[in-house]
Amino acid sequence: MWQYAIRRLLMTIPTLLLVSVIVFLLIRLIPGDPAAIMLNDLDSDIALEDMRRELGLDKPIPVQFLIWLGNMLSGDLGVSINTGEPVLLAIVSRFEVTATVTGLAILAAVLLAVPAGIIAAWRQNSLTDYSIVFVSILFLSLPSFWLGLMMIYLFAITLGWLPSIGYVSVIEDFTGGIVYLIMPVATLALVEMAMIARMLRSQTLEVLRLEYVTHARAKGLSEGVVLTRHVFKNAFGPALTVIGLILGGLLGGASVTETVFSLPGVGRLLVDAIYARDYPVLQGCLLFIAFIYVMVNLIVDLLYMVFDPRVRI
Amino acid sequence: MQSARRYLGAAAIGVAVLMPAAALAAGGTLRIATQSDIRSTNPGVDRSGFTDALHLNIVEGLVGYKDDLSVGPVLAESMEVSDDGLTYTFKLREGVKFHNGDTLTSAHVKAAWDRYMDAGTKWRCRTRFNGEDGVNVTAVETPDDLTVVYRIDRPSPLFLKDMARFDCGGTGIVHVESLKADGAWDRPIGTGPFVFVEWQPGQRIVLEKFADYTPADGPMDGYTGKREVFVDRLVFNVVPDAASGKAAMRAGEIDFMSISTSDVQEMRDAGFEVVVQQTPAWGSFLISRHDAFMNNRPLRQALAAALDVDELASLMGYDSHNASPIPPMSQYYTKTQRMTYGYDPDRAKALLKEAGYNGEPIKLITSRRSPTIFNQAVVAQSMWQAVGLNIEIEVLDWGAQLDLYRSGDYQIQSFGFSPRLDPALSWDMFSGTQTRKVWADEAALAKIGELMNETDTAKRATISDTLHEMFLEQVPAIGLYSQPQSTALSSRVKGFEAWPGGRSRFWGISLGE
Repeated sequence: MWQYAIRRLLMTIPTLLLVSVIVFLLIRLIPGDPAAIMLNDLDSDIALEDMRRELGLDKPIPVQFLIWLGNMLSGDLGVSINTGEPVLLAIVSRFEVTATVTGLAILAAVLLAVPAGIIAAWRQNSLTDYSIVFVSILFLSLPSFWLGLMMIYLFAITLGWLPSIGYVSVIEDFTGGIVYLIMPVATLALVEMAMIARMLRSQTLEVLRLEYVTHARAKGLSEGVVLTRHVFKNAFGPALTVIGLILGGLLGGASVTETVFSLPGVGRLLVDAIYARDYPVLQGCLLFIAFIYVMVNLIVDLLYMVFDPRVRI
Repeated sequence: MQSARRYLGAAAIGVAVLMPAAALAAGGTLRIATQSDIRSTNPGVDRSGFTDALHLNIVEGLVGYKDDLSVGPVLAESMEVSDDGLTYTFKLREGVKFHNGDTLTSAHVKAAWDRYMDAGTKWRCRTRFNGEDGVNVTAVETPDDLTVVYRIDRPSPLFLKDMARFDCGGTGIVHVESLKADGAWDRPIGTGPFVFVEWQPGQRIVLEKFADYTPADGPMDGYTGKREVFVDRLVFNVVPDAASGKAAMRAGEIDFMSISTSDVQEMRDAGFEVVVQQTPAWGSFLISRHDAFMNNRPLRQALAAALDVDELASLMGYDSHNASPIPPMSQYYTKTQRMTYGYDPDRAKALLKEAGYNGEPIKLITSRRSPTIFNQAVVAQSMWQAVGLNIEIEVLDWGAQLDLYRSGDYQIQSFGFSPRLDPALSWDMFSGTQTRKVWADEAALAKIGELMNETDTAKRATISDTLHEMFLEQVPAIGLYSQPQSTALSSRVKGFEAWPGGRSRFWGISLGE
């Protein structure tokens, strides 16, 4: 297993290199000059030339790429055109926010979705099943920005229970930080919960029809034991893939939720960088996101073995 | 809940009226929402409109803009210009303190100036003062502790105006301790009424009242006059989404927020005070001179005649239109500058016939950079269609639109120019031979050149008027309005005054209950 993990880790190097080339070129194909955006409509061709020179944009693209690649390999992702912040520092500080919010959201989503999905399948075509399916479809259909704004309206404006904007790190102030996290975590968790619950319900239904479940029941095992020991473990594998994909996506930046709740996360950093054509930040963020995807997929693959002993890597 | 809050607000106003002014000046934290973060804490170097506004609460220059867009003293107590227009003598105010406790002297002014003029500082206005793109400051002398003398190579009406420019950071006098030992920028130590405390990128910026601030005399007039601070702290929260910002105001978490004109009524209906102030930012349609099809004067005149600019301004929520790039608050906004194209659909149709126009599609570029830039395109499209013009809108993002603006590779653009605070700069912003400029008429450029060098106000006004007449005739662009800026305030905020410069000033504000 460790050999596999190390091999997969080593494989990330060519993947990231390829991603870096694609990202570098694609970003430069988008019309829009970061120096011009910084200067906006203010006139001065001299200022524009100075700015382009300062940002290294006056050099040919292959030269720019080699400079960037060289710096990147020595651990220097450059400096943000937009804020002057070192890119690595910006990503790390923003990732703390994104990881906290999405980590808690996925945890909450899984804790809600697993029992909901299994019970819905177990009680198929009952009122409980219909209710769970209805709620899942409802949350899946709601755009997260709308759900977020409605929560703000209810809990911040009408009831005044929670703050609508801002962020305090839970590391610095746990109770103070949690208050700012409740709404964004709930917004993300409800949508993801719905997706995982539906996935788990359909997987559980398939497993429940299999002979070994009938066999387990025939042995006289209680329904609880059948569901937890025999059904859940087999049904959870495919759901794990979905959870991995969701987590990878969210860790790469839940930009809509971060924007609605004014959270300084990776998603917002990325969106701001796109509008400002902040090449170093864009490149850094996209590389980081690719890395996160690779790592999450690796962890999911390794976890497969825990849930399904038939899988041997 | 809302009505209860309104009653409370009304009660607070009632109490405030009854209470003596001193009772209101009780400190407190003013919570501000800003859609964009600052770019740096380094004035005039790494900047944006909001960054300038924030810096200018921390640092002060020798001079600053007034409400009528003329320039007056800030750190200077007085200033004298020699008869030949080549020597500017500034007397500094006595006893002005920096945030680190040092007392301002002419040596600080010279040190700050030398830093700005060093290419390594990357001050964006350096070329305006080294002869590359404006006057050449040949010497800065400090005959005594409170006197600074600037010598320039030729008379210029723009020397002080450039010094006061927002994007130049108002040429703010920063203390040498603003820099680290290696000369790199650390934090702004200025003489302004607020002290920089912290910046958490993407989250918040915190400023505190400067207890030892020495206000100038005279009424508050733009960036000049008295600056009295009544609040203890300013917290700028970065709230990128406008809807979230409005929600935070309703939830009582924000006291002060710039809003778009389209949100004014909504915020007023929700019980907030909204201050609307006209600014020199100018909304317009640019017509590219590089496009052969648009290089047809009757066609451009038809475009102008087909637009009901009064109606357009009213639909945007603005009080009045302004075809001229000279803003109404300027001393150069004469009767001639009020002239416009004249809405006349029949004339537009006749002009289209004269132009030989046969329904060819014309592309109008816009973006969603601001609601105005997009909405004015949509409204104008329908007005143009009414006279038979076939206008197709293409929506880009701002970066891509700017690319086309710079290359001139478009037909019409819906555009908004940021404020220019001198008539020469207002005309120059879209005139010249560079590809991005839409007006390259030789006679017009000669007039603008005269305006750049003429120092007599009356003569400058005459030149500017002639330019407006030429502008209306040639239609290189269609001027629409001087755009207002709207600020929503919670019921706690008292004493906020907007000004034509548009950059928010946080002195003079106090907080009620």
